[in-house]
Amino acid sequence: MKSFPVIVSIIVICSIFAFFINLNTGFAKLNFSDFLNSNTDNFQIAGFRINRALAMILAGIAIPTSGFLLQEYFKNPLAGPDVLGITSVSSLFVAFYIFFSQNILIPDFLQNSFISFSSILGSVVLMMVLLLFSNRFRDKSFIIIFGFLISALAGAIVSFLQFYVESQSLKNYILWTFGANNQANISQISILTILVIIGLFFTFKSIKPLIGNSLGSAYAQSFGVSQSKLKISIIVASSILSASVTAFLGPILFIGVVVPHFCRMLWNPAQLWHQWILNIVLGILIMQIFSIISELSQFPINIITTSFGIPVILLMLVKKKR
Amino acid sequence: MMSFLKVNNASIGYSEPLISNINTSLELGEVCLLMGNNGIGKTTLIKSILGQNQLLNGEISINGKSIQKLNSNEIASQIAIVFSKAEIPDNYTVTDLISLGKYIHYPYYFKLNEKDKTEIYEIIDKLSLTQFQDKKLTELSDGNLQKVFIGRALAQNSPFIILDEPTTHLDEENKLMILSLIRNLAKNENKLILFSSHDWRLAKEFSDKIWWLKDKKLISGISEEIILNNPELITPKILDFNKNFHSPEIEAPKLEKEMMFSFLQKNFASDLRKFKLTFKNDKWELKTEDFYDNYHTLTEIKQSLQNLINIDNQS
Repeated sequence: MKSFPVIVSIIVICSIFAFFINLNTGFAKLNFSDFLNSNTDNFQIAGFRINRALAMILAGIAIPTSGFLLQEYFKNPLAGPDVLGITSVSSLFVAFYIFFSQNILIPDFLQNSFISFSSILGSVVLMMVLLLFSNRFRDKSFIIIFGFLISALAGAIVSFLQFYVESQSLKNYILWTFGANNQANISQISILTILVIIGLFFTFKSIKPLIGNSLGSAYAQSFGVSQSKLKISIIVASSILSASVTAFLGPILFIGVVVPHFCRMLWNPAQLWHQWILNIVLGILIMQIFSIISELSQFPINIITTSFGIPVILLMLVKKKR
Repeated sequence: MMSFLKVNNASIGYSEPLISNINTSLELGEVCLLMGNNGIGKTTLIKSILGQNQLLNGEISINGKSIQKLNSNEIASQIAIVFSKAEIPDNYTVTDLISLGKYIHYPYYFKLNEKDKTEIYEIIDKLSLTQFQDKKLTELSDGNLQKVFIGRALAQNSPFIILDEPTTHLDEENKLMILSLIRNLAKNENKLILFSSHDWRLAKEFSDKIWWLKDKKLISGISEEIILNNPELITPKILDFNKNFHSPEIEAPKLEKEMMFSFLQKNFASDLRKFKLTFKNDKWELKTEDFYDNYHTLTEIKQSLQNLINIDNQS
């Protein structure tokens, strides 16, 4: 007999281990005192690693939650934050910013916050467009098609821009798309934390109506679920969660599809509250592990998540066909 | 005395009224059949009772309160619904779906407490679904799936249950099972049950009252009276629905076998190949594969034979 508390506690314990291993992974060997004593040489490195591990925790909470919400709402296990076009439009705005600010001299810390700001601006613009049109999309699949079109458009514009920019800006942009988890500083992390908490609040508001929505809209209406309110809270929650992480840490792909999929294999998929908790703890664990692998292999985190995510998604497709 | 469900001079429809001037009422413990041809407004009427469609005119009230003034949660606490169509979540088990009936009783966080869990298992037991309780919905037969959806409505604890075409996709045996389940629920649990069916011949046998949608009007009343006053609704009473409905027995020990066959040949030549006639233990048995489709003919034959036997006895 599987029991939910047991599964969650095992994952939490593994996550705590992974967190500490992550703190201890990197070129420099750190002692315990380096993390506490500001006089040691390695104190800066220690702070930097703490930021990295914290950033991974936030990403592990936000992205799987966003993917989980979208999958449950669209009743499609392949939906994810990329589906609404959030990631692409965020990337587009970041590209705009990086490419057009190339001739302006800006201090480093401002540079960082401007990147984040443009990413959030991008997702907010997309969110407004989606909300504006959401009443016209009677069928849920239209929103998915809309997201694909937007992604394609954003990708085309980015490729077009890449022709005309200087090599340094291009490199900056590409570095950002790799997943810039190493650049997160403590002020970014605090802003990210606030945004994630707002996103989680909307997630909390969405889950009960999502359960009521499981038999289709006719039943949902008879349970008193408001379709328009549900749609808005899903769009708001998943946009805030994925755009804020995209802004500060770069586009981290496929985690939003893979983690909810693993959670469904671990525990009864009908229990959405349990599923949400499971998504959060498993998301944290997986992001910590990926961060460790990224640090050891010196590959950008986005390449790791992609090379892990694609085989899993292919397997899901093959299994679904059968 | 105040009726539980009261419809007062109501007109339903969209821009044009489908049914006008409805005046009727129903009480707890009653089973009412909503019948009428397809597209005549059965589902619209149900949606109007649920408050999902605006009334063009008049008022519908439940337990003394007008539907228009209740919010969707208050309506749900009074009326549980079983739609004819639903999305069937492929990851739901029987228990999961029945538990969903408790949905409206939890304000934010939907996780059943122990009391509700016990109640869910009582319902599963009552519907004799215990052996299926952990099965996925997608693995169930149509009849059992319909039972599970009725179970969900029961778990909602509302005094009034509406079923839209509950027997449409079912075979004969499951139709009878669901209809007798509906009847038992109304009688044993004192629920008001309104169910629609375009296939009324069998369904009317299980209802106390009939709402008949015809020519933009709703004719309502006690089943027997409606049937008596409308000759087109009269169909011979079938024997017992219970166990042996596949083989109603005809007592005709005195009749000679040859005489029986010649009689049938003469009167029911075209129908005869649908039936199997045997003589066993001093009794004639008339069997048919598809009882429901053939039961008009069957009862006709039975009646004719009965007459023949009577004549034979008198002579």
